[in-house]
Amino acid sequence: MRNFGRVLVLVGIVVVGAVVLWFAQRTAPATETSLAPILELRTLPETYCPKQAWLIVEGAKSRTVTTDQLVPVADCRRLDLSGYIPERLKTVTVYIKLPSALGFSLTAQQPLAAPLIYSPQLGDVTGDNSIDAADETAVLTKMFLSPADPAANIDQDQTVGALDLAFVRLNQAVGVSRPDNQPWGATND
Amino acid sequence: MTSRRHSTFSDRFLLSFLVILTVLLLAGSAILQRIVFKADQVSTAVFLSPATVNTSTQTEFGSSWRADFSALATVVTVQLELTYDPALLELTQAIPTEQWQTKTFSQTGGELRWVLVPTESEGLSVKVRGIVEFGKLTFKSLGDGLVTLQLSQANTQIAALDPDDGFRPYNAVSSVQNSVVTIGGTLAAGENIQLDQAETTAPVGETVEETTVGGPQRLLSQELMIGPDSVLAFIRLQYASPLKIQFGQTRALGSVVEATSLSRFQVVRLSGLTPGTAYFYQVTVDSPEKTSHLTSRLQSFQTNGVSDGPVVAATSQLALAAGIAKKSVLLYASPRDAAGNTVTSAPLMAKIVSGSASTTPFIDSGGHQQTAITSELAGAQKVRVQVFHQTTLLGERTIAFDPNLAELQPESAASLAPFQPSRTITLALAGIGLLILLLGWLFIRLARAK
Repeated sequence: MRNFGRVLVLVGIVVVGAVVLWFAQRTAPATETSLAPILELRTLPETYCPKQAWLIVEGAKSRTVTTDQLVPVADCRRLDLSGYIPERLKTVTVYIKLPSALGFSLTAQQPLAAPLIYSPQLGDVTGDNSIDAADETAVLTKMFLSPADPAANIDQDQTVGALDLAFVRLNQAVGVSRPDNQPWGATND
Repeated sequence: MTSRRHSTFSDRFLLSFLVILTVLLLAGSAILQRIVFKADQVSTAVFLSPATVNTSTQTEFGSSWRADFSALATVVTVQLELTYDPALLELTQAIPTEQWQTKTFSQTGGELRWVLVPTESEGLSVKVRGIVEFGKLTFKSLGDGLVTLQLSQANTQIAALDPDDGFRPYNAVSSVQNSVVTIGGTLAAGENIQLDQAETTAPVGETVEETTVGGPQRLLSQELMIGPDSVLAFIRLQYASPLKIQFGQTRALGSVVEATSLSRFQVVRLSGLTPGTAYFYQVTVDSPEKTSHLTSRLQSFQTNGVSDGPVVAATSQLALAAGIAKKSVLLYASPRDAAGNTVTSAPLMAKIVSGSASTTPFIDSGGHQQTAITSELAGAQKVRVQVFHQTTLLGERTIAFDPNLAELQPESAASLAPFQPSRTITLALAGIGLLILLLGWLFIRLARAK
């Protein structure tokens, strides 16, 4: 019986481990309740490679901004947030704006645990933090030009074409504003 | 006594080992299947139909902008860039088909640029499959000569959604095919066909032996599935590479279709052909590094006619996109009558007779029908599939599915780069490894306690 109990424990460990692994590789929802030191960017075109992003860190309760600057994007897909979030803040809100993307924000509690995953919405050609008819016009006027206009080349694939137009048409929305409601700074490399 | 205790221990040990091993395998395969096995993106061949036009001076003729989708796809936007000789041709009309509307259009000095989006009633996207027509172009011939309606590979795009990647748009165009217009003259369509040019493999420079694995690129096999107005060419190469097929009614060829994907097994469609007509064709393969250039011999085929049946198994044809695949492969079928003419609207059915796999219903794709065979096992297996028209067995094929199948490719700087697994796969493998270590340790303790 004692051995049978051990076997049950072993099976339990395996099942729990498998469930943890399964959850670990799932795409996390846009906003997490636990903020990781690393933010991973997902569901982006392979050619899209931002070098930097605008990052604002704000205490969720005190509303005090502790970081407001451009930060590097590692390997085109990762932001290391650990150096920008003070440990004393238990709950923080981070605001992020990537090139050609809508701004977004995430509120989370410390301590920071698992990596944070987010899928940015691309298509903000005009840089006004909204994807609308103005962006569509901007892409249409720059299509077929050589060399490609960097601002209108949303997916950074060297040509402004149907793909860029598709991003604008699919992602029409307004992004999250800065906490001070001022315009986002330029994030283009 | 000792013998009984030993026997009890063995039974429990075996039971626990089997239970844990099963759970581990189930969990591991579920995770890896979710991570690794993603459906292939739909690939599309864009072409103008007809592929060849014979006309006289000061005459209007039409040309359709079409695309052949290998599977069901959701299309958001499409764009076309077409060049031609403005001294010989004048574009008089460009009309999108019912589901599409013009977003932008420009025509300057023999350059046509056209962008279409779905009509308001269609919404933001249109679901398409098989051969789809986007628009009709009408040209007027101005003088005698030969003109190529040339599609730009870079600026002819179809933005489709990838359901396996958060519905991210991607360019579905894998090949484009030009169209040739002959004005005021007749080419020698009936000239004698002589297959006297041997296949040649001509390395560019002297570095080919150093930059390839096991010798230069080879054309291992080629098979044609001939229809009335299109032909599917099944090409198997020694190494994965894009390729090009030039074809035409004379030895001068003139039309070209490109397969841009990097694969050993290529399926290329030659479209816009005239029924019952002889064509020449030639395959050329340039390695991605431009270190070798292969030209096949000049060969020929004759398109067949259209028939209402009945379907005869002896003349019907089946062909696989590849005999070995990782997870999924397309099976093509051409039902024919006793005279070898293609029987249109002949319903076909695929039946798996051995192995575990699923099939999609056959769809008509320009005189050929196709179905996707997908393995339902995580491991390797052989699947035998039979194709029926009503109760008539047209033939059967065997497919080897191997999830670990690796493409044999010439060495390059890219292929020599160290393997960099994604963070998720690393995490999953590390987790499984830790579990196995923990289990091993506990088992040793259990055995010692006994």
